[in-house]
Amino acid sequence: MNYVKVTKEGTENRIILVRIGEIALKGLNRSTFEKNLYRNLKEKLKDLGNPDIHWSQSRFYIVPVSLPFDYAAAMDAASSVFGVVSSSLAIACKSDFEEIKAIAIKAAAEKIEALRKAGVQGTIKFKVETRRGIKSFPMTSPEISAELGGVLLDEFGELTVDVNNPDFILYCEVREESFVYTDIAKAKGGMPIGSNGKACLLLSGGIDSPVAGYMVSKRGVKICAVHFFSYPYTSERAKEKVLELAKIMSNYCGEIKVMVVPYTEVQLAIHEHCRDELGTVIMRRSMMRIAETLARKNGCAALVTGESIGQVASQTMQAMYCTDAAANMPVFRPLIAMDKVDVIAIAREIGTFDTSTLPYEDCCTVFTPKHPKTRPSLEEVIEEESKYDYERLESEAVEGTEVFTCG
Amino acid sequence: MKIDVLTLFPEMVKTALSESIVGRAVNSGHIDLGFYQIRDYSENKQNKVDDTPYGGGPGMLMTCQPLASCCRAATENAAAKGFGKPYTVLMSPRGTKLDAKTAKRLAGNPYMIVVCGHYEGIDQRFIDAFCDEEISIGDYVLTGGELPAAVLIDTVSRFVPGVLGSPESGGDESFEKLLLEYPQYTKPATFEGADVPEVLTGGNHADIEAWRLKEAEKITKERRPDLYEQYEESAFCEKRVIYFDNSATTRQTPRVTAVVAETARKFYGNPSSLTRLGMLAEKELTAARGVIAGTVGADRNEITFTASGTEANNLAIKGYLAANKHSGSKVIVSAVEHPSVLETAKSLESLGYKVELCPVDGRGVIDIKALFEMIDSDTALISVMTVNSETGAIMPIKEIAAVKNSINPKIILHTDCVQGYGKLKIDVKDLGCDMLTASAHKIHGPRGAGFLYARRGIRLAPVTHGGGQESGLRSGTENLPAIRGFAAAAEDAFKDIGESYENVKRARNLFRELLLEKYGDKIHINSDPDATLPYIFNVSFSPIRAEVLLHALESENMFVSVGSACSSKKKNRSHVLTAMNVPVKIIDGSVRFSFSRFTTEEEIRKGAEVLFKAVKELKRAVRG
Repeated sequence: MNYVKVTKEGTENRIILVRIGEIALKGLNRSTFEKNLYRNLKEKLKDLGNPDIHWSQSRFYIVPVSLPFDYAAAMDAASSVFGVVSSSLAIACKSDFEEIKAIAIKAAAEKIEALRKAGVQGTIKFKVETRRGIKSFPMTSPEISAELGGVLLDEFGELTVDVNNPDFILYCEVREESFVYTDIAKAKGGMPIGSNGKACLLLSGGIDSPVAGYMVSKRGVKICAVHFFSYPYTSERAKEKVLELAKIMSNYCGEIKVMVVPYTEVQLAIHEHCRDELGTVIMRRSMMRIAETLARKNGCAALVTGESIGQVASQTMQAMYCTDAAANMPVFRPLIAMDKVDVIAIAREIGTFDTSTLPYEDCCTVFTPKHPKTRPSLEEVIEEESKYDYERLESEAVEGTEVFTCG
Repeated sequence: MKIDVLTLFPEMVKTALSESIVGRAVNSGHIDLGFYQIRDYSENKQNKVDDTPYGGGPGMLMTCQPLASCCRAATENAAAKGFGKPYTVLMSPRGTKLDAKTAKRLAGNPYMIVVCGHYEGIDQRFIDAFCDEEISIGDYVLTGGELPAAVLIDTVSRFVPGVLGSPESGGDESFEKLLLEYPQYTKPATFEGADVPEVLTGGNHADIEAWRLKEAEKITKERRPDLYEQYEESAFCEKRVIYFDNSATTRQTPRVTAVVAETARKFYGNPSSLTRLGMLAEKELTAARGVIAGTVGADRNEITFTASGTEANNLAIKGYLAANKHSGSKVIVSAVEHPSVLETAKSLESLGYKVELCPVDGRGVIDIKALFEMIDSDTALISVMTVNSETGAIMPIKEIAAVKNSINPKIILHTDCVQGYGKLKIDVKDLGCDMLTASAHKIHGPRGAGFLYARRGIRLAPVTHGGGQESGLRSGTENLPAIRGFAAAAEDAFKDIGESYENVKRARNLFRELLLEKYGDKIHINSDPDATLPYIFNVSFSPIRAEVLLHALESENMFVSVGSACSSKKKNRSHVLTAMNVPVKIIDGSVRFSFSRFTTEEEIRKGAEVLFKAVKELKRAVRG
């Protein structure tokens, strides 16, 4: 892709520089990944003045088309897009050393003011780091750093150079055009959504499943979700809560299609026909089958759940083996070896925790066995399962699925 | 039916009505249609029928004389045929809008005269003397009344017996059931690739009916939301709402809504403003205060408006104690009070007050003997609700007043009457309470208005400080729309209060009997009919969990409340039923049905039916 100039006459030439991680390491399909990321960035920034986005040499450049432009909001938005490793608010200019000097002074002046506001007193230590991407530029990187350092020392009496422990670093990148910035904001990382196919998340409304969905999504997987709705044993509010969770997740995962499956009849049948202590594992198997049917309809190649080893009776290894045996596609459990506190930390970070902990589903305990079997064998489960007509009930449940789009 | 048309252009009407169904009805004699040329009755030499308007203005008006003479001639001719006095309708753009109901009503007249207006209008004196009604067919102006007359006669004739082939083919159609017509299909089964919906060719009549109803509802909701709203509340609507949650809040009556809206539009001045607008608003505020005071036998100056019952309870308890620091350090409230009393009382503990909860008996009624034991010389205030919000238990406020007076008349008695106000006849003097709380939205008034009655002579300190409104007790600009709405709602509630009470009692009794007949002693009734207000009926369907039942009923558009949310946490369990020593299992299955004066027998029967179905379904999931 040809380089598109970002500097424009008569503007301040402020842009956001976006770095991408792993994608840069990709081989021939790299452009597919980049296109995906471009699309996701574009979508995310649509409502923020819809800036231009260019890309070149593992860098994306967000260039406002009109001012005023909310740079801080755009930085935050870009940072929440999977595949973005970090971003910087930079000033751009032609790759001409006189111009570079001018923007370096401007960037340093702004950084000094910010540090002063933050309470830093006395002399301020700094260093200059330069990267030169075009070899036709007449100076080498160390020469540019040294020269710019001298210019800043002359301009600001309060500065002193300290390469080991600086208060700020002035970064200078010399490419087709040049960029100067003083800060690098870390982003989510991962891979651009849509670059690694689609998977179907079993979204319960608890703390775990949104986190599981988030983690898989971060690896570039587009997510759709299935929710099992046991009205009247769970309330309308429980459904609203799940849709709200999907909406929060969509900040990172993009638009999420949520399929709400009317599950009461299946649950009642299991309750009526099957042995109490196997109820939960039989129910999980039925959920897997329904989720798989819906997943295939939506072009998904895997299921995702929020289970982790030993969390509850249905999450023992034996129980999970029984559950997996009902599915004919991979079941991903990104939280499998995580502690609850760590899951909660992520849930808080992505903003799903407070919604997840709303108390709307206690009535479902009607169906929770008093003493569930923690080490069921597949044979006994299959035998017990044959006591109710799950094929008919499950296909009716699939039939009655309500679809919502969140985000 | 005989219909005579008075017009300047008889052919215009005649042509429209000579063919098809109306034409046949005329031929078969079901409708006797006559036409009179108004011009023929003019006494003017040039047969003039119009003249210029007095006071100026464009165009010409039809004069009285030809119309009057024509009208009399028609009536005389009809009398010869045995018809009596005609019902005379004038077609006019300023008439009331024609609808199916009007047409049906008009079809009930044996003899009708339809007058077609023309030119710019008709001399008002003719209308005053001859016309019973003016009818318009829509919000647009035509060149004359002839086509509207044809429209009117066409639609009226459909209701005349014998005009339509089968009697039910008229009733099935649009508007009568407040629904627009469903989409219809006839042969062939496929036309240019478009198929007839499968259900119609399937032959299952129940499915077809259900499909047609669903489509009709969909179309009506989309195109005529006004009609749909009427439909939803009518008996035609299978899924109409059964609202048995009136103790949570009630639906505003249209009159109250109108008063609230009118106040917002007309009396927008601030009652504290010095301008005329302020004065008008203040006058309305005073009038509303008078109405409210009258409902409880109080003086206007004894009423303080608040934003809610909760706020009034806070003002009563905190306000009294703050202003009367030396009145004592003990406060007694019943164990089954609303949280706005219970929590307020508990908050006093941090101020050094001793708060005691008076127990209730198995019916939920306060234990008077226990109360007697609790009252001592240090007691400052007693607060006992008039009617319990969960069970409807009526508390003996009069007796409580007598008991405390026998010990120390200076002790203040407050009663939270939120659930009793507008349902029980109340006279504060007779009741013997010193303070009383009520709220608007429990009696079909708006949210955002409540009041505290405080007997003259009782000193209160404000809880909210500011501009000194409400005699300094409750600062903040008065919510006049809600307050006037409150007064209107109170007027309506108290108008036939005894009759309403009896109606609700009958409804509750019926509901109770239906339940007992169905379940016998398998259910546990928490509301003793002899000790409770019939507006509230609390019953347990244990082992079914109350919240599950609530959601099951809700899915059938029936709305109720539960005292305990579906949670294993203890704090969510009803404190009222707990205080009554009701076993935990029974509490967890307890549902509150609360009625209003608008509850009908039909609604009770339908509600019971919905309830029975839900209970049956939920029994499947009961363990063991």
